[in-house]
Amino acid sequence: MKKKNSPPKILEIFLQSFLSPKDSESLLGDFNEMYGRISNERGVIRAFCWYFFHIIKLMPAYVESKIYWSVQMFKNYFKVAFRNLKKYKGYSFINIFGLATGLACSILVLLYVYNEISYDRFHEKADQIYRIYVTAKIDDRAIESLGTSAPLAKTLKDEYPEILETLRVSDYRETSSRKAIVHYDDNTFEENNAYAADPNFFDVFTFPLIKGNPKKVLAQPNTVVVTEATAQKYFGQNDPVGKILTIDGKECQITGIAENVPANSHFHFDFLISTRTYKWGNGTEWLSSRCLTYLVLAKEHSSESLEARFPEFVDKHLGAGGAKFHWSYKLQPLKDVHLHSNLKDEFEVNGNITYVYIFSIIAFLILIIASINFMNLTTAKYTSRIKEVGIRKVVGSTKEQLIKQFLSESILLSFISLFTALILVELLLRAFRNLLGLDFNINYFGNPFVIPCLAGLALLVGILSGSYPSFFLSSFKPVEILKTRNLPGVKSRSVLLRNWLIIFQFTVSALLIISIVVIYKQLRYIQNRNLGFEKEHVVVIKNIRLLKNQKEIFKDKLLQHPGIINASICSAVPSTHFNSWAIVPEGKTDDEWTTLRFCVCDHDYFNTLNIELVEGRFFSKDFGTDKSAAVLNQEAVKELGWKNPIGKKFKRGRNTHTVIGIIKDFHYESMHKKLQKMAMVLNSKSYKYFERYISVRVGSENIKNTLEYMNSVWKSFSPELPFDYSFLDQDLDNLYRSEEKTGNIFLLFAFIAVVIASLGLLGLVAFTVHKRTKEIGIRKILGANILNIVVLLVREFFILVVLSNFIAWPVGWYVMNKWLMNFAYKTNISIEVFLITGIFSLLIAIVTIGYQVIKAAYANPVDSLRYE
Amino acid sequence: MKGLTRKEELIMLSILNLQRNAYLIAITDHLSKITGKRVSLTSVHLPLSRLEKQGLIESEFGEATAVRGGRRKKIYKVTKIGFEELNEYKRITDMLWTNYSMLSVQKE
Repeated sequence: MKKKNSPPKILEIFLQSFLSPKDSESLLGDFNEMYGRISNERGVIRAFCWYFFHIIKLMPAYVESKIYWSVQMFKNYFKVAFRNLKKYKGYSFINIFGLATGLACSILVLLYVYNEISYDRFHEKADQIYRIYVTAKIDDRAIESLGTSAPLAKTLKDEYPEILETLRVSDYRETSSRKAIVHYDDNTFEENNAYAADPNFFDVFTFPLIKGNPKKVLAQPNTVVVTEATAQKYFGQNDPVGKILTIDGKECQITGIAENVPANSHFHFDFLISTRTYKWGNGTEWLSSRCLTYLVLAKEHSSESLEARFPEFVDKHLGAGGAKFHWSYKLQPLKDVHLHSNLKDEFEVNGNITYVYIFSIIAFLILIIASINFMNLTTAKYTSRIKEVGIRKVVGSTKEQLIKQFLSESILLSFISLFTALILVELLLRAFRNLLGLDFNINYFGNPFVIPCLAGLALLVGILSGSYPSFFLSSFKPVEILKTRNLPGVKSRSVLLRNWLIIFQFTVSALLIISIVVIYKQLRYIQNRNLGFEKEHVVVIKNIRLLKNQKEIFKDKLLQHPGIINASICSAVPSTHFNSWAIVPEGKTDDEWTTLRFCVCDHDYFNTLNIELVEGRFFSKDFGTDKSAAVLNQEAVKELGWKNPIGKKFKRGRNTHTVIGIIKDFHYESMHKKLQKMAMVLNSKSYKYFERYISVRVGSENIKNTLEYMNSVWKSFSPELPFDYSFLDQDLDNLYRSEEKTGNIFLLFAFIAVVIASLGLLGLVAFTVHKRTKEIGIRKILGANILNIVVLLVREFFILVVLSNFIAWPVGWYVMNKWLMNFAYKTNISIEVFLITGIFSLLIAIVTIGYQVIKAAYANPVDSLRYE
Repeated sequence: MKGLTRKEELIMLSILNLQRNAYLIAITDHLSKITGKRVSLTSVHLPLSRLEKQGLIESEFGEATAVRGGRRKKIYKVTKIGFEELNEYKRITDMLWTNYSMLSVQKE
């Protein structure tokens, strides 16, 4: 007999998996023997074929029986699950509604997160594009700015071969205004999104053109590319290519039409004008900030190695100026722009990675709270299922099968919740978008990942929330369950865990409540803080450049109306931008300059805003010399270190100003920033150019009428644009829009968390009360009054809520202190914040459990004891 | 009567014939020998497990040999009920044959 008469091991293992464990040993032995015999008689190959053939033959029957039986079992599981859902409608509702809300929250937040991280990914060269920013130290103040000088782009490309392209984009174009005034025929529009760009714009970025050659559209001076929507607005159905638009007084020919810029781009242009149109495009001033510079790096080169070579570049081209200001160039990947960049001179307000994290965490917590409800309710009402478990075990169900059963039950539930959640998402999406001020959508079929992701989410939640109950329920010994009428002694363990879960839920709720209280407290603090001027009843008129040299006449005309108390022509009002200019204080050399924020205004500025004077005087028409005077704020005096500031002089450019008065510091910027030194100068001839607003103090009565009057006066001067105005107090409020938004979102999240948590509590209380019906009856017979019963039932939950508050307070204090760091002026987190939170969560708990408890306490003991 | 197929009957008879060595391969070989046709292992195994379920035969583990990769044999034995069942079949078959032969004798 040959030695090699055993079949291959792999085939044996295969075969074994098909055989029932009872038979496998003897059958494998039989097969082994036959194999040996055949290989002896007819060769190994025949034996092998024979063996293999048998395995193949066994396969279909095996698979069929497996599937058949698992389908049968699942059919049974689902049947039981549905019956249970129907039998306990209240619990089912709480479970499904809670889970659905949690899922809806997570889906919305996932959408938001997906939208945030999708920014600028649509560019083909997205991985290679970097943005240059400047870090410098001016006046001991570190500055990180995106503004770069005009010659930088070309020089970089010439000197570094690894830089494939450089591109300049600017929203300033020629004037320092971001807005452009565009004429076509008799129509005039004010446009917010006009940018100047180098000819290779469409090489670097992937913005598809509908018409025009991407390489040539911006090659000539006085050419402009507009977006589809803009073309529609100006020309309707007509072909816009070749038409001439007048943009800020320059005639530009339309050479191309671009598709509308996707919402997830870090800037949105409507007009792109060739940089060759403007003189600054050829500028050579290295220390200026004219435009943003992008570059495309060759694939194999890293940005770090390029960055490391920039210092020598700065030395070579910026010389002493660069060294003095510690000037250096840094690179920022395009993909980081939206979430990680918040520098000076951003085109648009970017997103914030912190919010992405915070929202994700909160959504996750809410999902956990909802899953906990499921766990709690299932383990709490285990008595109703325990007989079922016993019977199943007795008739041969294994522990694994029971776990499978309860898991499939919770997965079924989470899928029902998923569909409910999708309906909720449809209903809430619009509101959520408005709340965030973002535009995104859910597209179920556009992206192949959406549906698997949703299913995966539901599966995860199902497993997460079903894991504990299924292990818990499957662990009982059937004898114990079926023998005694009393339930086995698992109570203490499950109750303990349940209590921890409730504590977790209420801790999260309390945390969210603390954040809301602090956010709104801070907002109220900011809005009620003494700003140093009167913000009410001030109308700010914009676009006054269009009045050309008739501003004074316009102002005088306004003042004729009895409802208008005062008016002032100025370069800036609080909430708008105050220019920052270099000055040389008295007694210092030209090199020791410093910067001041400036406001150019006329004599009436102080009375219009009611700014308080500390020392000296305001500008006055009685003094002809005031055109070279200046009024400083207290901060400026402090920083310049002047003991007797009145009469001191400083130089700004060619002008010398003498200080005539000191005003009290007033908050002209948002409270995020520390108040900075500033000066006011009169709108004399050399400063006329900066006049941008007319601020008007109106009487508190009949403001509508006054506004109509202002409108009619504006029209009588027939400027090209309609009357554009805003109220100062609203403009100031807008500075805190992002905080308000955060507050509102937190409010929504907290509301959801609290609702889900209290739903869970409600379910638990209902169950506890039900279980103790008899105990309450006996207690009442033995003389307990209603108060005793209420205390008995409430005490347990009360302790939990108080405990969770104690956990939430320090965490909330720490987190919210971090948040308050964003503000230079901030409220304190006082004890009342925590008291409010504590009282509020107790209140929620009382309202939630109150009805059940009182109903139980008032129940007639006869009813509860009779059913025995 | 449980209702046996012809094959089941033959298998049980083979088990009886094989005495103490009635395991799957031996039964299969025996069947091939007496019928003169090739019989496959699977076509014997299924009736065997059915018979065992019905309690007509029972099994126990025998010795392990190297030929079998160290695995034990499953040796079948006809139970008392099984034996009665077989006898019942034999009685009916015999009766029918006897009747037939008597009829043939009368004809002649």
